[in-house]
Amino acid sequence: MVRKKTLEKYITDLEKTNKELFECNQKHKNEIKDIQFRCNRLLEKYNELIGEINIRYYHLLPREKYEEEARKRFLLKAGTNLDLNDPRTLNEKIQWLKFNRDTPMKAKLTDKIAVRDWVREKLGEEYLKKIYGPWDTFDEIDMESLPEPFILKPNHGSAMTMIVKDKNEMDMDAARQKVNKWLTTNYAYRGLEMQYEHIKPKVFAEEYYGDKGKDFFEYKIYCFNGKVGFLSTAIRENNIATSATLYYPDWEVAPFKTKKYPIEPVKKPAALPELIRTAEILSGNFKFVRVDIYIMKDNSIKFGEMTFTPTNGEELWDPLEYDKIIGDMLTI
Amino acid sequence: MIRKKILQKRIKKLEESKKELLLFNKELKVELKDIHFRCNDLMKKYNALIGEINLKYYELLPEQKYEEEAKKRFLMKTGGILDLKEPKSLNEKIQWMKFNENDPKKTMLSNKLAVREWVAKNIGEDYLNELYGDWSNFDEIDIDKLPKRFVLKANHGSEMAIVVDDKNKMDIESIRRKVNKWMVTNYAYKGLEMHYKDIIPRVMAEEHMGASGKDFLDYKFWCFHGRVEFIKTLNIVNGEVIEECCYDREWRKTPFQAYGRKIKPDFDKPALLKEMMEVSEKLSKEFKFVRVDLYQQGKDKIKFGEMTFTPGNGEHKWVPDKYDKILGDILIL
Repeated sequence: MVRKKTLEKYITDLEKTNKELFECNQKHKNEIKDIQFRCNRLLEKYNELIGEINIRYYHLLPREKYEEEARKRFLLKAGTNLDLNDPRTLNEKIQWLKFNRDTPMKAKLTDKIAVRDWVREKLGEEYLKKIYGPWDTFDEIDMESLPEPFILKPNHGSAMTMIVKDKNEMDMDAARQKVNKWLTTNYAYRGLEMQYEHIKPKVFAEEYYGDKGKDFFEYKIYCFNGKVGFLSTAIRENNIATSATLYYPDWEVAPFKTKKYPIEPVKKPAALPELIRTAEILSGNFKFVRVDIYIMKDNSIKFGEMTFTPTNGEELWDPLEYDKIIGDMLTI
Repeated sequence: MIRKKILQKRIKKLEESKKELLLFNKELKVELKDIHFRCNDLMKKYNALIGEINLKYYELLPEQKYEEEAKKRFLMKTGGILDLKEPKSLNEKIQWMKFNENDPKKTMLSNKLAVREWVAKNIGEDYLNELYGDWSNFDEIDIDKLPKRFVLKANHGSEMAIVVDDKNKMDIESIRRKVNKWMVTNYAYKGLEMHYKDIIPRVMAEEHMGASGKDFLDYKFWCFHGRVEFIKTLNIVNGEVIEECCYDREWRKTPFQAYGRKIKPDFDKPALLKEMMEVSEKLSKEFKFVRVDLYQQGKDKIKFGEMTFTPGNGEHKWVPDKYDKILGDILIL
């Protein structure tokens, strides 16, 4: 009997300890989760703050200091000196053009709305995606007129988009804040790309055609003095690039790449000659421009954008010596 | 018997789940450690960002606002009012000279590369430690040609040094980032010490001066009108002041200290004190005020460290604080 009682007491004790342990674990688990979440939020906010400080600093920086600042940015990013007095590499030449050959025409073609006139004139309306708007503020957007799903973009910079699959599910306050933040940001001061400076910010909408690299394909076509030098296309998974391969105009894989992505060649697109023709027509008389063109699901070719300073002239070419070799393709 | 079996079975089960719970608890502890690490990392980033904001702000601040800013800094750092109209204390006089005496020679001598020529000319090359080279960014450094141990330093300011004890074990990526960050930092804008402004940044590799401790101390000679008035001795380990103390010319502890922290009153009088004072006075003779830093290497060698015209950026906390004024009286503007 005594033995049984001892066992029973042992069980009660164990049950008590286990219950306490369980509760303690649960409590700590929740606390850790909460702190992890807050750490991530803090890091996001920290990064936003860095961007904001940088934009404000560039707003106030006198123009005669831009080249010095570009050199500093380049050393921190690439680890080498940027020589703007005797530009030789592609990065140096892109940056030299940025600071020395900024023209109103480049600003016009950088404006995602104004550039449509150029495409219409050079190629025709059929190369343009249908757009809705533009509008000056979020509240002016005519939601009724928009197809579903759609994508919102501003005309005055890159890396700002919002995909809306269902209008009724939209968090209007968050969306308003985000879009109006775009509209009050002068994209020029993100990295001293002054061709963006005088574009009047507007927001417009396009039909959302699905994921890049799955539902349609993007080709970034580097044009030197009106001729295609090379082009790149990326393979994407879940809409995130996993590789990016550069090709010469005959679709031979180029012996260099960008440091960020590995190479993974794909089949030559049937429309390659049309891509090249389109890019060369649009690249006009410019010494250097990257023309982004899409091949859509229905095989139609649509214009994307024209970029005079891809990656802000801070691309990490790999191997590094190719920065100089491809720089030789560009006569400035 | 059956009942006992059931009980034992139950015990086994409970013991197992206790084991699991303890294991989970251990995992949670690992996660907790990870979070601590991330929090510390965020804190470090935050502090670096504050420094960065300060640099950018000072870079853009118009020159006519410098004195106002110096006053604000002074109040925050020392708790006292900085009077630049009628400078009396040593701090005030150092700051007054900073803003009112624009001497290109100070820029030249604040440049750790250029100052070497001056030192060689004035007291002789023997007082210089070996310089292995200087470059404009990290990738230009030919690490293969450097000895196993050396010190990387920026020529254009203070607090920018990396001691490499074994080049085969250095974290190249982290050092590259640090060195290149120095190269794009104008040290003048850290605290408005404008005599650093026009120094073109270079990274230099110098002789490793041996381990800190008994045979490696830092002697700072405060020279007023070409005369050493007192000597601050520091024991620095891994860039951090471990102990310090101020002495007079006869190596008696002075009645005042800078900051009054980590005071160790019984540093040995250096055998070469007399020669060190002579060297300092030779180097300082044409300046109203300058601090000359020297090291004693081994038993019989004196090495030049640096010359500083604005020690502590004129924001020293003197203890007792009346000595700021007493020391100030020695300096005639």
